[in-house]
Amino acid sequence: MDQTGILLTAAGMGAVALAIRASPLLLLGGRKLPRPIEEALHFLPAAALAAITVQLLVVRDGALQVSIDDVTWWALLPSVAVAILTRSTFLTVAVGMAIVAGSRLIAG
Amino acid sequence: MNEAAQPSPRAPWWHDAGRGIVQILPVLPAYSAVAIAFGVLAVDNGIAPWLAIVMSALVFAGTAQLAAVPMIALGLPPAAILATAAVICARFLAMSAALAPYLRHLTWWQRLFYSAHIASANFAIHVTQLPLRQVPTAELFAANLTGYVIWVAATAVGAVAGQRAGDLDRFGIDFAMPAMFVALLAGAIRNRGQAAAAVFGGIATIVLLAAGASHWTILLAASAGCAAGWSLHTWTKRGSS
Repeated sequence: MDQTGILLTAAGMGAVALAIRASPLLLLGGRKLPRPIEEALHFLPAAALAAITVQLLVVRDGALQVSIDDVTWWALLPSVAVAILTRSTFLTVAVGMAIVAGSRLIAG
Repeated sequence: MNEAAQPSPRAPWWHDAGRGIVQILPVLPAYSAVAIAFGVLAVDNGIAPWLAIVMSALVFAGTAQLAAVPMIALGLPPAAILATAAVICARFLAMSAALAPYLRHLTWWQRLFYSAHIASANFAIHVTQLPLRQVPTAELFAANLTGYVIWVAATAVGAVAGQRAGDLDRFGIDFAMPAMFVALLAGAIRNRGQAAAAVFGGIATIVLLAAGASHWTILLAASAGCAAGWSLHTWTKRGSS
């Protein structure tokens, strides 16, 4: 593919990504929806956050992979504890990263 | 006269914007690492550095960009590349729909502008903040734009330097994103319906990944979790009335 082709492909990908990102927000965001849908949407944030969290934790190099050798699994429990106790994103990320970095340092 | 009855003066916009930037700071190293990796991969596959940077600026979706590079290198038809990008971006449907009820106060153009910068990290921040308080528009856009600017800048670093900046995972950067999501998820669960939505969403994710749903996973799992939470909510409401 020549440079023009790559540029057009990138522009097309951008248009596709924008259409997907924008359509719910533009279609659902402008008016009040029927009450059941409105109610149901309030459970979507927790569900979507949980789905993304789990995917971040179990997917390695594009494949489902769970191993006790993986230090990020061991860092998960203290991170959850810090998250619940402090309610601070900063502290949770800092403690979690410190545990992972520390374990890797010790493991060599 | 009656100054006590006046609403407190609005904080200046840069104050709000500053808070938006601070919120997204913890994941910027993780963002940068992915963008640098994309820049390196693109140049390795014969894409000009300026095109890699333009691609990051136009698309702003890590997985879709990383998937497109080998397809471009192989000379696959653009239609196939766009279709792949659409499937990979399916997760944005769930994010955008979850944010929609809380962004009604924005104008149509503001919502369009907001949409362009939806990504996992700022979605997670905003979807947990918006139900709790009226988040100033400057704060929303500042978080989004910070992530976007860092994304494009780090792509440039990867594309121009052409080498991975050492093994960043040594510093635990790969755990920044999961840790942030754990923290925000903990804050997003405030009732039994939401707890059920999260548990079902999480279980559905593993089941769907095991079944090979790959890029459809987030959209399907989030919908399933949402349905579970809503069912529990309506069922207990009916039982109590």
